[in-house]
Amino acid sequence: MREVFDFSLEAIKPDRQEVLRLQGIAPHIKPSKRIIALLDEAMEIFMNAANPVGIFSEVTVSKFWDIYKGQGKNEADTPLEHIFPRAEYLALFAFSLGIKISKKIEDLFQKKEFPLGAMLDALASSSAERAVHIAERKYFDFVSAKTNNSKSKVALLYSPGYCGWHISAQKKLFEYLCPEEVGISLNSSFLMIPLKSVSGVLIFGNKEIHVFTNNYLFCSHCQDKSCKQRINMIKK
Amino acid sequence: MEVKMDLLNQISQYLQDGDEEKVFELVKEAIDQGNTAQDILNRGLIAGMNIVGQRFKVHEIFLPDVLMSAKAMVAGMEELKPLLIKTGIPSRGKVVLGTVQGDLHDIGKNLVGVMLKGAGFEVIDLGNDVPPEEFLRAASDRQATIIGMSALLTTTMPVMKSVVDLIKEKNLSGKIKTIIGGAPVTKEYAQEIGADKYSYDASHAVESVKELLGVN
Repeated sequence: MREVFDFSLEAIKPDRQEVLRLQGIAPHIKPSKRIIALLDEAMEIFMNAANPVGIFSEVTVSKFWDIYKGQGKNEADTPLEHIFPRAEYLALFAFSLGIKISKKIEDLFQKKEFPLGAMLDALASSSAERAVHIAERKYFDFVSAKTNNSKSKVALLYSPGYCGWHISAQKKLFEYLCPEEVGISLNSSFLMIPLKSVSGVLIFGNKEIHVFTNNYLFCSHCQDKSCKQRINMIKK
Repeated sequence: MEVKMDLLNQISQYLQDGDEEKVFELVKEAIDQGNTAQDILNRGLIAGMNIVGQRFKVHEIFLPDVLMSAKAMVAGMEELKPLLIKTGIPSRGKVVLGTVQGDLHDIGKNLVGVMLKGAGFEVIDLGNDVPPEEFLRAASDRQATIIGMSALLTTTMPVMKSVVDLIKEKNLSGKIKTIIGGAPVTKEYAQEIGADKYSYDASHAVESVKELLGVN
């Protein structure tokens, strides 16, 4: 099963408070008028420039082993290699906000419009994050509908470049998924173009398969504790 | 003399307010009035940015405010630069910046660049997906003494170590210093790979560069 996902612009519209948080402004702080004006301006640009599109393609566990291994550069032990073999369903996934938004951010920095460029970047990051949650939900609904069994299940996305899964695995992921169809390509360093894109594997299965302790060798060097937040969310 | 000081104070104040047009205009006026380039830079622009930095540190103002001030600083510097070059005032220091090979996330690096320029440093921005050799080549070609590296992907962090190792291999330790940063990067990682500094945000990166260069 291979399908192009529809993402409505309204659904992926960034959350204002999250954007402000990305700019270092905590929820209890009232932003100044000029910051609000900047956010409004960036939001308007975002709504005009964003062109969200996503694609997913189901894959078997055995096929995914090959994709996961990529070019053999993964860490010796990773959480993902303990998660996906226990999955019930897997799908490769890619999403992008389109080329216009990335170019707009680049242009703003080149024109020395730093505050607006940084605000637009934060909007795009927040939006991409929302798109991931929507994709997880859509995939969960898709699998649930065909299996009629969603109790204690969850679908989560894991991406190359994180948690010991080497970025070079993108090559095989792209060879299998072919997201070029929706305008997402890979450069020679295995990075996605447009920049504001997300890729990875959607894993559907029992909640507990996603739970792990972040004491892998590479975890000690990592400041990004989003894995813990995700695990806590599942446990709730 | 008092009039001159007032003008420089005004430059500092408008810079703190992020009013680029006023800063540009007043720098021009200060030059016309015979202020030295160094005075305008140190007592006007840098003085203003230092206050902005302090206010950011104690959460009185936020990233967008700092970037508005940095934009005003850059506008002022554009007017001042020809005079600085003409009078032979050396730059405060040169920093080569880049997002490491295999990583395209450059917003953090861009912000560091803006803040460094705002603090009066010369920035050689290599962009993103920068191979280790490229960092060294740029530092050597441009006589930069600091290399700043950013990474957002945990799997690209080892490229930072490759740059530090390359510096040692070429016997440039001490001559070229390194600062690393990015969401997954830690102080411990910086110590482990032998980087000279770790910076947790763009404002802190400016402090780190100042410390490494021994400037205020």
